[in-house]
Amino acid sequence: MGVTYICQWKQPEGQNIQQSIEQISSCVEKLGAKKAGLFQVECESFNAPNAPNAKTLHLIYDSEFPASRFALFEESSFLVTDVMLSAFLSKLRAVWQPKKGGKIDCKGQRYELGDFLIKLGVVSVGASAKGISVELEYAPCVYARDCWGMMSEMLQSIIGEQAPPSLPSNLQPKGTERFSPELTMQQYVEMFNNIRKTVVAR
Amino acid sequence: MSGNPPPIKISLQSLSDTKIQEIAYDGRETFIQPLSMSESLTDLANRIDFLAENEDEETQTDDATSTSVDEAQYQAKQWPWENIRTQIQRSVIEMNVLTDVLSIAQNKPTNVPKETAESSDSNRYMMYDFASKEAEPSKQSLQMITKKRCLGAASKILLSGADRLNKAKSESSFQNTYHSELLKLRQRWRVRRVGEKILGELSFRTAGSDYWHMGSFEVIKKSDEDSDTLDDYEQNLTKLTPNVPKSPIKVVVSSDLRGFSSLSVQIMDLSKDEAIKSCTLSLSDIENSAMSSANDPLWHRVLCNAQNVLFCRELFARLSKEAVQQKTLGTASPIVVIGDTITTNIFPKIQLRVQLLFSKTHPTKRNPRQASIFSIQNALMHLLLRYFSKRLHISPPHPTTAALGLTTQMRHAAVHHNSLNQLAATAKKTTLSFVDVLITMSKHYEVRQRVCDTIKVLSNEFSDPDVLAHWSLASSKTESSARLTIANSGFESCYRSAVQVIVKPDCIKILQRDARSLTLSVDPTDLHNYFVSLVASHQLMTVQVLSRTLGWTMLHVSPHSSLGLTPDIKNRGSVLISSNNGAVSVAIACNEMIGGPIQYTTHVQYTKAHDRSQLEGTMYDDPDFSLESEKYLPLGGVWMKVNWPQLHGRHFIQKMETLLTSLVY
Repeated sequence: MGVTYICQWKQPEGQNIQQSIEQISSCVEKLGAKKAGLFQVECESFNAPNAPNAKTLHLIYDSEFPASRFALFEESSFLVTDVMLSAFLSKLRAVWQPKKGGKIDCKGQRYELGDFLIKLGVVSVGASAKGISVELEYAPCVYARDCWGMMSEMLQSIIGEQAPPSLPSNLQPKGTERFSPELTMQQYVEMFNNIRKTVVAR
Repeated sequence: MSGNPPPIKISLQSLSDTKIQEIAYDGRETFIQPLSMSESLTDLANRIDFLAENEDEETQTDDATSTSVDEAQYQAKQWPWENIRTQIQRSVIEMNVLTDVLSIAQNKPTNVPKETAESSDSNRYMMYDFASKEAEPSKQSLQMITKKRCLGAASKILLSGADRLNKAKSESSFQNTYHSELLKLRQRWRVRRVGEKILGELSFRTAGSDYWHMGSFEVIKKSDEDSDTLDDYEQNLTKLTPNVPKSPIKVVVSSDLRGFSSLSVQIMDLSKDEAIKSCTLSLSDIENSAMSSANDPLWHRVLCNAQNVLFCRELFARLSKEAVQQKTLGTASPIVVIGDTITTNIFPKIQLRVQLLFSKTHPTKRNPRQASIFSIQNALMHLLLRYFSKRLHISPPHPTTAALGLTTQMRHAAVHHNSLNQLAATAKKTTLSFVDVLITMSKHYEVRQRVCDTIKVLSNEFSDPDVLAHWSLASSKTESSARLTIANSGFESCYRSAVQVIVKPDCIKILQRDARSLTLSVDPTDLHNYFVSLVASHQLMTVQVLSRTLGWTMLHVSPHSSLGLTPDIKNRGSVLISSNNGAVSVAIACNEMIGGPIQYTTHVQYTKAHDRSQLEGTMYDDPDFSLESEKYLPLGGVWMKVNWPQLHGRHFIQKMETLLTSLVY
């Protein structure tokens, strides 16, 4: 359980996703990271058409937490549950219905470099790949403010100029709260939403 | 005379004649003293029979009522409370008399005014006096006789009871002992009656085992004829302890449980072809005297042995099942299971062998010269017990709808978002793998033995610095640590080096004082090399500290300089120091001969003040050089080797001290 930062990597012009992934993987491997299996993050969205002003409900499965499922409302509450959540939600079909085109997932390789965990994944809606996500986790620390310096350095060596210079606002916890998977999932949902918007924009 | 005079009542009173009580031989008469006033009153009072008076009154009233029955009946109807009223009236009168008597006797002051009241002393009508008591028999002999008689009666009762009990006990009929023996059997073993037969069970099922063997035995009543036939097995059992009382019960166990069994774990050094350490595990080791004693009957011993055989077989079956399925190995060679032996090479040339020993007739002899590895014994036993308890004691789930059989941590794993690493760690903690534990423990044992031996050998080799090894008490099944302290005797406050050696099943980790940590392999030569270099560096460090205290300056230190002229000399460090006035320099090199001990070679270069006369005529005589010439004098000096054996001192550092102090004068 550590501090996690997720961002989308904009691939350079003229390269397709496959080449971009290979490029960034070779970069990470040169740093000395070792492959440590595959990872997968799936997100299903639901909305309640009957209730007015209802927020979208996102259901997230992260292979890093294989025994848990996360339920997230946008900018609102967050829930950690057992694996039976999707079955439970299907029983509530009357209220919550899956959104069309709502299933996004991110699959890729997992690398371990000392205390860091680097995940490079391809974000795809259905069968088509839409983007590349980079996730960096620093396991020993649980306070984002304390380890941001190290993480930004690491990010710079992986993704170059696209690394953010200062601690992003959504990572800054309220007060001195510890970093929790809630923030991780929020970042994922934000990234998926951005990717959806770009898809729609095209 | 007309008219009879009314009858006059005459009361007679005897003359108060003093009666003679006794006439003595000399004629003197002793009279019975007449009763005093109070005595006569008490005498008269004693004569009054209050009850008789009442009876007389009652008879009178009865007569009165009987003569006029009708009248009385008529009257009774009219006044049914008459009887009760007279009774109450009589009791009230008597109570009044009593209170009057008491108040007069106490002489309470009445409410009569003072003039008429007379002094209490003269008007005392009644007084209290002691009632006469019966004299106790003062004779002690009489008391003793009565007590003796009472005790005799009580003891007779007790003796008769004891006699009855004795008779019952000594009456040993065959039928009685059979029942009592059966009762004893039932107290210790699970026995039940099935039709005509009496069957029992000695397996560990109720403790949580799931071994297939039923472990049942049959109890047979022995008739008198064949009470003396014992077969080999039982004879050997009885040989163990001689006092086996004969019993009318015979126990029949299935033939594969008749015998002596134990599990032996051996670590063997194949290069020397002898077992280094071994441990034999059997249930009877753990049982000890709490369960059985020398006076146990034969059936108990048979059953205990059978249970022991079952225990060893179950443990071995579990081990072999896991050994066959073992995928990830920490061993040098794969695990081989043949029959009743499991063998594997935990290190090259070190073999671990687990054997199930079973003999029909003779108990397995333990080689007394080989010490047993208690920790492995204990660990295997514990693992089996934990496995049993896990099967038996399942914690109830909270909430009740959750899955059965999970621990609290497992149940909360999902909701407390346990990551992959955390889940893997909990899985590792909860698996009970017998073979894993056995292998890691034996590896750890072996490595620890090696470290121990190396330290011993080296500390014997180096008599010079004192090497102390202190093994920590805080050790686990798979890790132990020792702290090595190296100091020169007499110079402990000067310099001391300490190093912590952590022994793990796969490697040896060394932690040094300067926070450096080294990982050495399990090979003993690695540790040997490290040790030698440690001692050498310690010596050189001590020399440095010593020279600093004596005022010498350090010119150069090198931890390793390959300055050996011949290839079989390994250099372990060198130091160059000079005195504070610059006149003398000392160079020390620490060399190790390959295959030999460490030797220190010391070279000293010193220059005495050159005579001015010698320098005449040389370039040093030039006036420009004269001011700085002293500085350059030592440069041209000659290096001389120190005669080490002749130097005074018990060990290296002491000799160095002598040398340094003698060179500066």
